[in-house]
Amino acid sequence: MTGGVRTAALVLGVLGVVGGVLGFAVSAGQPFTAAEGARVGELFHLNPLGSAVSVALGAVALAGAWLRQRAVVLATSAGWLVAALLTVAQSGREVNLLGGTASTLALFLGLGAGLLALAIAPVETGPDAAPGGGGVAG
Amino acid sequence: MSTTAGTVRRDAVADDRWQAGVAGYGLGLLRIILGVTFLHEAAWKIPPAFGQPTGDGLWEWTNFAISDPVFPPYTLIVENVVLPAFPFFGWLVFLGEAALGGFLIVGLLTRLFAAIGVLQSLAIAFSVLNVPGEWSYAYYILVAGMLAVVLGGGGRALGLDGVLRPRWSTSDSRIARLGLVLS
Repeated sequence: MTGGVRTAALVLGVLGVVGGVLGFAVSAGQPFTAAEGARVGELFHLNPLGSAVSVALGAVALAGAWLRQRAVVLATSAGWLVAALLTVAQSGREVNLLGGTASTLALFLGLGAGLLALAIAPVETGPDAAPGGGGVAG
Repeated sequence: MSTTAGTVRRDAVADDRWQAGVAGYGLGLLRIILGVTFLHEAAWKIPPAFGQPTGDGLWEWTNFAISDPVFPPYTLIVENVVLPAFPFFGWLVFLGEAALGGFLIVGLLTRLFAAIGVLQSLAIAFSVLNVPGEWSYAYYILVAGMLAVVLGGGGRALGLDGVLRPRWSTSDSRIARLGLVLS
């Protein structure tokens, strides 16, 4: 994981952490798994658990990108996509563990799909690239 | 004389390239704003009933296509296809607008999602354009903005498409080829 792909993964990791920290700020005082999360600005909803998940996944993505560990970035993308699925299944219901709405789903989908695309991006080819590169999963 | 003309031409070419770069960033910014708009607007589409039992939310807004019609064929479709299967279309809007928000903000597969955005923006416009108090130009701007992002490939600046396209272009894999087409 190098160059612009690594930088982009770092940016997405930062977005996840910042989103979660803002989620903590606005959901302070809510029950940990409040079904209706607090709204960050006019954007997405998160409860304290959703905020914690966002900070944790963002931090791991950040670490994975920083250490150039493609597998770690791939794992965090899977984590975001599971959070997205959970939001689809529970949004608007009595039990909504992450406190999310469709706006939260947008956040989770963007970060999950984005990190997935970066993690499976073909390896850079060129005079400086390592031999054997070029495969999608390389 | 010819040297001066050549210098002017070179300056003009350099200026055009700089301008094209700036335009790309402008398009990227427009894409992000459109994405944030859909992320924001997705929040009030509440499953599983989407406002049908209480007559508000997405149900109320969908019904504006009948109470304040804009485009008769669209009104006919809403009346005979959408409302009888409302939860299905509610979920379609829920998932579609969330995906539009997420993918447009990060600039991934931008042409695909902006094209979906054009269709969704038209559907919204055909529902609410004639509702009293609505600022109709907002919907024209929404459709035009989405079209600009489709035509300009708005994910190539300030977006993941810009990072991924060079790598996709050197790969023979099917995913990479698909990525190039949809970005």
